[in-house]
Amino acid sequence: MTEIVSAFGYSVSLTVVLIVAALVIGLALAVMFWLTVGLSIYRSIEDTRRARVRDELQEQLLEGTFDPDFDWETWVAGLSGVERDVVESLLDEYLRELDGQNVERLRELGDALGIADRSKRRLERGGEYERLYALTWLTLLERPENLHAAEFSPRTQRERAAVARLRYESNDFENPREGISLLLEGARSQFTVFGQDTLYRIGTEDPEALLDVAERNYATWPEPLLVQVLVVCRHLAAGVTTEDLSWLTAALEADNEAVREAAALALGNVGWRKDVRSDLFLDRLVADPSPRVRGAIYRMLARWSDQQALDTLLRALENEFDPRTRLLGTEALGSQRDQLPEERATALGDAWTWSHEHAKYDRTARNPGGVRG
Amino acid sequence: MHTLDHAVVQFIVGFGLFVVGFYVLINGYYLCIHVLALLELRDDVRESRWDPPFRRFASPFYPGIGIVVPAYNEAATVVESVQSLLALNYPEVEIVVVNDGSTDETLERLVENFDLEAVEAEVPIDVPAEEIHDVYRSTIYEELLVVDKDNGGKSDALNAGVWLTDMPLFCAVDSDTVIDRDALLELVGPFLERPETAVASGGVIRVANECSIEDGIVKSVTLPKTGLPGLQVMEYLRAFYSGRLGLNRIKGLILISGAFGLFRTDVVREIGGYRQDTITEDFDIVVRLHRHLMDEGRAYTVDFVPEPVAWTEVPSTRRVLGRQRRRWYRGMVETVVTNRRMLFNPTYGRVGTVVMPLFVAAETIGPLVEGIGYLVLPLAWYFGFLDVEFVLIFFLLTTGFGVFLSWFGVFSEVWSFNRYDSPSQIVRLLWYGVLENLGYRQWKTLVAWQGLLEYLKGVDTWGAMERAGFGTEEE
Amino acid sequence: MSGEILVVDDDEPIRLLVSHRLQSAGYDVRVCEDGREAADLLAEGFEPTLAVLDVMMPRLDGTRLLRMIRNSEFPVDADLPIVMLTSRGREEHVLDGFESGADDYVTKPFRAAELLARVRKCIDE
Repeated sequence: MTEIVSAFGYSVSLTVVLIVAALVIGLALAVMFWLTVGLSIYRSIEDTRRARVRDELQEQLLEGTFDPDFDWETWVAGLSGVERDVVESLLDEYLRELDGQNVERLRELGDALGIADRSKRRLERGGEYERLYALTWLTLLERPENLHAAEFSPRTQRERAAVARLRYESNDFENPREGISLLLEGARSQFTVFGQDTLYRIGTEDPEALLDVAERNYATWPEPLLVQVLVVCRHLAAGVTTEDLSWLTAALEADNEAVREAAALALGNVGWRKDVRSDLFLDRLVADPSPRVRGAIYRMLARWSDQQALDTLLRALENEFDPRTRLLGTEALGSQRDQLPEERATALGDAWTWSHEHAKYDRTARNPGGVRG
Repeated sequence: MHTLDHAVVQFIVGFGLFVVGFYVLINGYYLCIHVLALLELRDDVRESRWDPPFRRFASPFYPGIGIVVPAYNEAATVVESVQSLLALNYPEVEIVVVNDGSTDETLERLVENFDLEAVEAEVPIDVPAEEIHDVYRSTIYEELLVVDKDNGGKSDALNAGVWLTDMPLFCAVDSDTVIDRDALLELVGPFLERPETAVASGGVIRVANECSIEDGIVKSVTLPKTGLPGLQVMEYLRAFYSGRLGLNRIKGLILISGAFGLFRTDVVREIGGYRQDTITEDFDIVVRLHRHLMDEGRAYTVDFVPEPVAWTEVPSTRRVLGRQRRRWYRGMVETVVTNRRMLFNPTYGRVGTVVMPLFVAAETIGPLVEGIGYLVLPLAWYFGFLDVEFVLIFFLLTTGFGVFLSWFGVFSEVWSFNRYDSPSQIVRLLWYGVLENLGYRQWKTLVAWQGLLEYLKGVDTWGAMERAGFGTEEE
Repeated sequence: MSGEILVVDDDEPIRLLVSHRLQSAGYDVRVCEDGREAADLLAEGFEPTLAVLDVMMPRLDGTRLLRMIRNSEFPVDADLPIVMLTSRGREEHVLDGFESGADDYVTKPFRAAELLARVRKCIDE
């Protein structure tokens, strides 16, 4: 009794369905098997080849790095394709670890391998990842001229960051401001941590420029980017002399609590301005509805740590009803201050006792001599 | 009598059709997920090949991570676990060991080996856990915090850690799981890319049996020699590389293994931390995160990071494995039932309307249906109600296609990270793929039914708190 | 005193670069892959002339190893000259290092010539 399966007006016997299904699955299995095993064998062969030549190549590479008479060109000319590959990956590792005259030697090796030229071509013709790999190589080799020679302009935020890094590391910018502008002007999306770090490195060299460029562009930025820039500002060296930080104080009033929080932490670092210091304004800040933002405000005040900030902070903490936010405040206080006037310390209660004791343990653990007998 | 016969026949035939149709649907879902996973892998491999020229450790932008380690009667291994955690490669780490009322010398060993001193101050915040006796700080390791509390179970211990950590992100670690040294650097990726919206990221668990792992460093990766762990390698590979990766691509990741996941501390506190009476707290918390954030209409992401990051010993005996799987099944049923509001509910977006229903169909109902299928269909054929072709098609769809999917998983692994790099290991894995579908899979349907019955009977979650250690199933 | 320099770093390129440079300057070099290996070596009685330690290492990091040495936990001279290798820009590592008793430090990426100079200086002192 072979049933007939009817669908869409066609009648087909069940046996046929079974056979078709079996064939399809059988075929799929065979394909999958051979693909998998084949790929595994191929990769295994590749890996063995590379492993075999690695040690010797590494020896020669080390020799050449420290010996200025070692002729890279001749050596490279005698390498096979696999050997070149291995040398390039070794070169990638070493370039990241060395500095000074030895790294120059390594860069000459890079030239002998023709990496910079290849990168230039990839910049012009490759997909996004190809371009990023190319920019990474040019950064390690410090060959900004290949970048300029290529017909290329960065399209995504990641590419901008990579270009900025390359030019920064190669001292290709006129001044830090140029780099900061490249990264921030017309920016439409946030950075990767690499980009953020690049902004940080360049910004550290000229914090005033960073604050200035931010001030002129912040209104056009999406919020995640604004937060990132604020976080960078938080880590800049203190003692910035920029006069106009109104954009930062404006950010303190943003709707998004993440922005307010980041602005507070940034101000903790750079904000010694009078307009921020009016009592009225500070009182308004510590009354922020978001506990997260209040916590950041407390850290900001603790960072300033002058009499006015301290008074505001202590008063606010005494009235802080959320235990965790209060704890954030006492922790910030504890890391800046060893002592508090007795009455104020008791007024802060458990939170202060806890933070104070933990700060003590932090210091003990860092001090080696005083620990063991 | 005649009409009853006829009705029964109709029913069985209908059931047969249902089973086959069901499996066509489920397999279609799995195939889609697998293909999506492959696409995701391709992007991930390209992304991981990009090594931007900066020194990560010199960058101040990496958020601090608190590692919460619940410990119950782990005197033998706790010191070693903590030492390997202290050696993790990450700029800022805090390790919170929660001694959940151990009756052995867990706490004493810790105090002795890490020079712990009890903090005099009272805990200034409310911690939703059993009573905390003492909090300890180490005089040599600044990043270590030890909490001694009354026994309350794993979720309770985790909550104590989550509430007491200072770090913006936390990671819950089973004490018998070994984390790759660079794992945190990988796992923190989503939080760096999307600091405001990332709430959780999960990493891949690999099977540690037969791998040589010393002090938290995996020296060599080998396939287990015996059957059961080997099958589980296959299973984990498929579950992670195809299941989770694929779900990730459609933003529907609903399971992050408890053995290794990174979470935003504040958001987890918002939802009240881990639930007390749940069996698989890892599954539960992610589903609750989805639910809470969607209820609030907040933009968020839950991500999966495919670079292998953690290693765990899997059960090597059928008895222990069976117990583990029944527990997982019970836990899954319980979480699904608790969160059934999300099913087919457009408020919960794609997770509610598509992912969860399919997940439930495939992982919860699937094994049950399949189990009945294995019984009913051959019997039906034997008694002449169904054609042999029909039964064979059923087996093709379950077993045959299953092998295909398993092999697809192996292919994905070879194509991407290739951690089992010798072809002979790969061939063995493929063989495990076959075995997985001939026997193991069928056994798991039995386990599913047992799990369901246990759930319906209300069998206690972990079988009382006095068991020996959390993650260990071995005796 | 064995006249050897102990180099401890979990990063292979660094180990090779540092040992190569030191060797071509005439020093004998002994290499360890992490802090625990170095600690075991020192516990057995190995006495180097100087140690170059990376800060971030698995199993036992450089700063703790440094402290252990200064606290006379090994049968070696507690005043053994030690140069730390740290990542540039992590000032707290540098301070930690000095507080823990390091004699000098070199930041990565490092200049081989500078490392050599500091090593020489520490040995001569």
